[in-house]
Amino acid sequence: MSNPETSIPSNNLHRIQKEDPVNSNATILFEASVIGARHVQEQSVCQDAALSHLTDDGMLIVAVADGHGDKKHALSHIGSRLAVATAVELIEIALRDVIVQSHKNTFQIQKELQLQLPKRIHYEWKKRILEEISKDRTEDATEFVIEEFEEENLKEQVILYGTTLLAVGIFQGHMLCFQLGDGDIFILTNREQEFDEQSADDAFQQLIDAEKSILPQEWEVKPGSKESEVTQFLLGKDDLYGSLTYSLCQPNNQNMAQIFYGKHPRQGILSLSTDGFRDCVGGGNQDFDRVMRWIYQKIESNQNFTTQLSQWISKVSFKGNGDDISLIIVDINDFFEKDVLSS
Amino acid sequence: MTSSNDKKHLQEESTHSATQDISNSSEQQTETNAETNIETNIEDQQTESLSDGEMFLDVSEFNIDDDPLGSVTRSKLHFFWLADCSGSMSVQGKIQALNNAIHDCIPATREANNTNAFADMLVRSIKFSNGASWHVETPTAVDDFVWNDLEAYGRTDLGAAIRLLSLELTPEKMGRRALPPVIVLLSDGTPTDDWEKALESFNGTGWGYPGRTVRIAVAIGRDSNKEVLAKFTGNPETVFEANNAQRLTELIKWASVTLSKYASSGASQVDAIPGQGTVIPPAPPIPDELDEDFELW
Repeated sequence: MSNPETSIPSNNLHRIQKEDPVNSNATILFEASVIGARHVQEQSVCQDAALSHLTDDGMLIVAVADGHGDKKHALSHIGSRLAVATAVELIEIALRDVIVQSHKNTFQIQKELQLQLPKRIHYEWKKRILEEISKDRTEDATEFVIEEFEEENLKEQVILYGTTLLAVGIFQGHMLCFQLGDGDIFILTNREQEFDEQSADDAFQQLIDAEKSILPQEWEVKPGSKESEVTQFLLGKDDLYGSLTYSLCQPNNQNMAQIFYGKHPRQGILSLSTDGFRDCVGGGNQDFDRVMRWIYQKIESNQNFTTQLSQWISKVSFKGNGDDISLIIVDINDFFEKDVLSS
Repeated sequence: MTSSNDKKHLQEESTHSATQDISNSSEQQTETNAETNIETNIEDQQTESLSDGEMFLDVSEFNIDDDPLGSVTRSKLHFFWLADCSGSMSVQGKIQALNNAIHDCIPATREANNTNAFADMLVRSIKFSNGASWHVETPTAVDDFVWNDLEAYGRTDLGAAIRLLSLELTPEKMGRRALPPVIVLLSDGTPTDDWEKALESFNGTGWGYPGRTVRIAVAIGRDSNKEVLAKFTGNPETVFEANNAQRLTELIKWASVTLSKYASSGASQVDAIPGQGTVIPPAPPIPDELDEDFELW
């Protein structure tokens, strides 16, 4: 397995499309975590983190996380960094595992992932927190075992690192999404570029017909210049009011995490963003949709736009609620279409 | 795996972006310059200044040249006074003390709001005695907020006030991603209507669900039913007693300034126990010695 630790974590970095990309279903168009204007004013640090990793064989995994940033979660800037590193590693493992499980239908895989992956991410993140905590101790870190998390003082220390987490893995036509807490995983595509449902297996159709709780949030066909254009908010929970969110530091947070597994559109644009972005642009789906479409079209029409996007996002924070903003934009293509149709 | 060439490319980008890196908190001057540049550049941006009514553009009129930066908005903090003006409030000058306290807190509230660059406070108030009605119905910016004195008469229809409040705290009117509204209940007695049913109904709504708003209550005088107030706030620790005008003034100022600042901080709320809500800042301490100039209620 490739080592995500050598991936470059983003911190106000931006990327443009690589000239000679690895053969992959996905390419990063933009990636940045920008410190919020409020944190600049308070002279504190960026609580957000973003990370991407492209494996040698073309799997792309992206993740963003939003540390909670108040006194109770004073080390959440570290928590978010550890969360994206954890997610990138485990999403890769999970996606490779499910792709080879051809004997199972998509619905079964979805259910198993929902049971296992959030628990695994929680466990591994806490383990990294433990390693982080042990750096301040004189004892050898190997003396600590995971069961020691049951001690009250360690539980309280984990809270200091609280963060949300969103992650997506894309490989050979398959897509695996994870979300805990607020933030958005958003897709813009053309209806003709969605995978033909009639070519999907029965299980995929079953997934489409299944309960809404495991389905993407919304499909909306937008009127306008491209009538066949569709946008979709994947995952996300309706019960997150105000600034309420879920966190890796909460006990039993695996029950609040959401998973989506299925085929990605043949072509489209995927974005991951922390809640600072949505909240600054009005908070509603319509506002978010409008702004993201503007960004996508700007990227398409102006190759240099991504070099300006970080500063534009900083302005959004300054004019909005001052929160940190992380944004990753991925271009999805059908490079492995043959593999998709036969899988 | 990122190739060495790509790493070098990224490192070069990193070096380039480091000069504009506003995420490094140690580079304060750079951040200050960045902030100044942001302010200057905003003026240079050819963006429309949209009024509230024009904030949400019709998607069908989407135009790539319309930079949405012009429609980015500050967060709104909705603040509600629920004021008991039943007949018992006319005893011992309690209603006038309430009026004076709110008058007194306005300057400090305006100052606190003006120093908050990322949220705007909007104030409304409901009065209740025989039924309930809006005292200030339109969400009013603090700078424009004027308090007209309340008069005391009639019953204590808290349920009516809750129902009126619940009509405003809906996802359709508030959205979901808004700052937690602050609700301050001021009462000296026991409700006279079916308040429990109204509260149960409100607590079952989107914003009414416990923990999604910042709710406190001020028990005015010793006859106030603190049990009822605790049910309203969901937590007996968020019921504060005011036994004289001085204490009432302190608590009202604290609610208006400190609580609003807390609620507008934008920090994520994470419940260890769902519905628990977050821990609010402590109220001003009760002085050891009471000022004898103020009559005890």
